[in-house]
Amino acid sequence: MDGIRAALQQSSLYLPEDISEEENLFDAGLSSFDLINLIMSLEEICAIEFPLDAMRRENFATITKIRETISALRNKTAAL
Amino acid sequence: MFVELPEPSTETSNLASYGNGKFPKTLKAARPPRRIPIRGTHVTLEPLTAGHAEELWLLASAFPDSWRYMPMGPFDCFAKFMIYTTLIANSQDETIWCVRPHGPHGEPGHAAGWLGLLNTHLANASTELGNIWFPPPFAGTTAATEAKMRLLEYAFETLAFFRVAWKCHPLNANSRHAAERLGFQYEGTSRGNLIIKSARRDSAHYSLLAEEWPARRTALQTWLAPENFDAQGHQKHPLVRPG
Repeated sequence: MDGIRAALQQSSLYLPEDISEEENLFDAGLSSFDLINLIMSLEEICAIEFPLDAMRRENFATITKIRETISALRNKTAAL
Repeated sequence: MFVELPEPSTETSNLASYGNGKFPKTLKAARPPRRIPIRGTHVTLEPLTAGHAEELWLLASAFPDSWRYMPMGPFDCFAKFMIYTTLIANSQDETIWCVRPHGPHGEPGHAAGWLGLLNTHLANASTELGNIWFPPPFAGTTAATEAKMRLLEYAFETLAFFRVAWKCHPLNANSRHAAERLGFQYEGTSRGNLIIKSARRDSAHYSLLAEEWPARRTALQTWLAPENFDAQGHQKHPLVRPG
């Protein structure tokens, strides 16, 4: 299991383990409360820190979107 | 085989007849809320930012019961509160303002809570006054009433909304009282329409319409006038309820 899926499983009781990369996580049962836990879990598991302007609900709407958000942050950090 | 439908009458083919005849046929298009500061007599509303979280944490942690009917909270650590504050400050779905009641010389004081406009439908010129988190030191104050009044004023007069909604947990007596005091009319209760904090709940719905606003604004302005308060800040006359 990759880091993002591990963080999702830690954060929500209701998300199916085999949720697709494109499925909307909020429609699938990720609550606002879960989202806070997800952000904290991602920071811990993926060893990143989300800047304040990246903390937008839409950046965590699907697994693909989370991958893109993390990838963009890593690229930005690497470019510094 | 098909069933022949009757020709529409002249009356029903008129687009205006889709309305129920109670409302003006031409409405000004509403504009989306902007993140601008709004200054009142007793309170200033600042667009909420992540930077407000630290100032608000003292209240958020000291008054856990203030979160009882809110969609989130209470928060067991500052990190979670910080993330939540940042998420709603950055939200495209709602516009939230932090409230600062004024000090004795009219200067904005400490951050005391927040409120916002959400569930906005520009095409219907409809929005909702909500996400009102006013913990005890601020709840029930003159400034708290003015904060809600200023946002209604902004919604109706600057943004040209026709309808402002208010919804709350049916058992939230303080919220229902606040809505009715401002002039919102009760519309009914939706059964089990929301899942909040993993629990399904009902919602009591209220609304205030643009045509009702001028009378409510006058009542609120009369109530808020300095001559309606004594030296200790106690009201001389209560806010007049809608007729």
